[in-house]
Amino acid sequence: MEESQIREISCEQSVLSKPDGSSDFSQGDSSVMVGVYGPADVKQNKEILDRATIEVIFKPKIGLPGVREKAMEKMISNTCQAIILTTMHPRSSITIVVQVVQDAGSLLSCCINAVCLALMDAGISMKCMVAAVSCAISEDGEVILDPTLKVAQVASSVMHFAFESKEKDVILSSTQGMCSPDQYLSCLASCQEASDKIFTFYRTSAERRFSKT
Amino acid sequence: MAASTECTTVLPGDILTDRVNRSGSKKYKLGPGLTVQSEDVVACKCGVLKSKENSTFWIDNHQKRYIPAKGENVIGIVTLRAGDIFRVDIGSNLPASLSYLSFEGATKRNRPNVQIGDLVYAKLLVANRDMDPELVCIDSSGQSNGLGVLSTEGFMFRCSLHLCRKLLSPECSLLRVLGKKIPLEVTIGMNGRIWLRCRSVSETIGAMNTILAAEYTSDENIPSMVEKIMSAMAGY
Amino acid sequence: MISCSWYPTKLLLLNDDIKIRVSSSCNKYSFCHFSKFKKENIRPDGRELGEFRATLLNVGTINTAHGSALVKLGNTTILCGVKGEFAAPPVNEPKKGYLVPNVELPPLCSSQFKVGPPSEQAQVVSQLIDDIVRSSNLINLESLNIAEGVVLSGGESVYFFCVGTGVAPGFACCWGATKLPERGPKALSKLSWVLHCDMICLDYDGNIVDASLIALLAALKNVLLPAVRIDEDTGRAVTSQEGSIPLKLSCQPVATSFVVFDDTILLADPTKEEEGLATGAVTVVVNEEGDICSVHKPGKEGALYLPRKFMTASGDVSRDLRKLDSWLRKHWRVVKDDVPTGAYDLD
Repeated sequence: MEESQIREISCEQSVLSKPDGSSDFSQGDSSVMVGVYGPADVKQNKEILDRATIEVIFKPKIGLPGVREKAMEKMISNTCQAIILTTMHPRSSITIVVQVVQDAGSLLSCCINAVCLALMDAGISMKCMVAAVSCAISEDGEVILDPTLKVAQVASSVMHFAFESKEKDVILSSTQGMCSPDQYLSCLASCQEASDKIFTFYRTSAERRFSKT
Repeated sequence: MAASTECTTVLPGDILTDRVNRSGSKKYKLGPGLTVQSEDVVACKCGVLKSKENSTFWIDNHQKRYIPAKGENVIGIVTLRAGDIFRVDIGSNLPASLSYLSFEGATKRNRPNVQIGDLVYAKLLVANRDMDPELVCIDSSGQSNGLGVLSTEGFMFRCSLHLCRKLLSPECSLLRVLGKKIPLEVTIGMNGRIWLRCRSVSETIGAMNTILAAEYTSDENIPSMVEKIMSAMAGY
Repeated sequence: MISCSWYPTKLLLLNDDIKIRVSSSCNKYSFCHFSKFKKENIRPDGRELGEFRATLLNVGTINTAHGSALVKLGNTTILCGVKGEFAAPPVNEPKKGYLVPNVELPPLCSSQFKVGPPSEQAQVVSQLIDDIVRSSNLINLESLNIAEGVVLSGGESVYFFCVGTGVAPGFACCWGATKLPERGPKALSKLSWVLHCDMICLDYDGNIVDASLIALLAALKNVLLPAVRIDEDTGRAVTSQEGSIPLKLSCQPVATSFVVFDDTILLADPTKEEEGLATGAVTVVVNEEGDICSVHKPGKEGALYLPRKFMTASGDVSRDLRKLDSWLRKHWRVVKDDVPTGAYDLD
């Protein structure tokens, strides 16, 4: 049996001129563009006295954002909350705009990875980095990493995890479909292992970028 | 400045305690991008770790957003006049304030001539995360020392913070090389804003493009880069 | 000194060094205050760390709905009403009906919610409940299908009339005529039940996911849908006089929410105050077989405890799950018992 792997990752940072940080991230055929503004001025009613306000705007490829998009926004913003040192910039806002370019499966993890790269580009102070990996359990119980839309549709369950870079602890977990606790744990373990690939990708792309100066 | 030749790319969350301790000095200063988390020195930004005299460490990156730091000279745009102070946009999350008394020779009677929309070159007197930044256009002896309102004849453009730091470092030869080709007056604010005045519009554009092109050009390539742009400009 | 009288005696021992007033609204003070309790393995309301609040369930509260339930989880109160309506099935799944769970957080339940469009939290919880219902295959959606492909007489508008079946008084008045959109001649009309499940929070004191799910499950168990027959002459759907059918649920998912306090302690069934002080939260939904329907951990710092623990020794895991299980059984017991109406104390 061939070991399933994360699809090919590619990324370009600082693609947009106006935002303070931006990234164009693709994982297989899924592609997401992210712009980050911050620390910028904050609306009076959203101001928090001792830390920065994090706002995520999720734009689907077509149509208006609905409840599902709202839930995605919340998950992304909570994930960012966990890694950004918000207390470094009190009374400011960090606005993250996520635009889906193409959804070909594992969209949530693709978004989180893109957001992490854009935050790094914007120079926002972070405790650590975050990498998200999705996986699916097929009908016959096989764990498939980074499933495409087709695989996810027939899978018995799909899971998304986000890990932080220090201890590889889980920041986010979201599941669809049923599975046994053992299956959940084995998915968690294999996603955790696969997150290494994404962290290595972050490092190599940063090294390539800064070798120029 | 004796910047260390060793260039290491660091990412947020990297523990740099060993790297800092290796320098041997017991006391060290941590600059932007470095924090202490439970006795470890940890990077919180993505960039290149730099050090000075093995006792000061910071991370250099291509950030665009300015975070005010005390003592830095910045170029601000006057946005509002409110009683005794001017509100000045310096590109940070909060607008800075500038008292009308903090100009050279200003008294209660003799107010400085500052209009809304003017550019001011000023020093940050107060800059911390919990307070509005405060600017002054005089030094401690009351002299302007180059600070003050910038002439409306110049041209201001924005660039990355990294480029400003690079241009201001003594090793960077760009302004020396460029100055020999085009006579120019330049003011560099640490907040990613550069004010420029040349003899003609075409020279201003040429100088601006040269400065912006320097961001990813190494020091030894700068003379050839300037030469290239100058020869391209010669036709106009 | 703490002035609340209901604190257990165990706590009074450590009161000497607590000099913070309970009513202090400042986060930092409450944090210190809470820390002292946590050290003693007890919470300010007298519960142990893994203990649920007293739960009260009242089934069949609303007469006009097809199914309803009122749940009180401590102070948190959720009222769930399920109402069936006729609707065209989804285009891509013509044989299925559907379920629309909706959680409402009106200003009534807490001052943190304002009048106007649904708050972010309401939308997020609604989505989570919807995900759980889908993941667990709670209801066989094909059983909600009424008619698949009825040829209608062309041109005229078609009405589907429902006649009150006498499930409950006041039932008929809510059941007027449902007008389906006009279709072209010989349009193929399909008809399914759509179950609107409205969960309205009456009192917000934390842990609304668990409470909403209990309310939803109890209300769905309570649903009696009238039997429907399509009159072939008129093309109208007529609800028959007898034979209301209870809804069949394929499983019983139960949610358990925890918050992480101080990065080390897990608190089950958090109150609003505990949610505010916590560094993270996780909701685990398990069915009666012990299969996981959802592990929802929506980020936030510090919420790393449970999955890490999940990952350590497997013995640890099973113990955790067993612990979970015992809490869940309590809920199941009530939901499982086919009870018509009335209030039940889960403890």
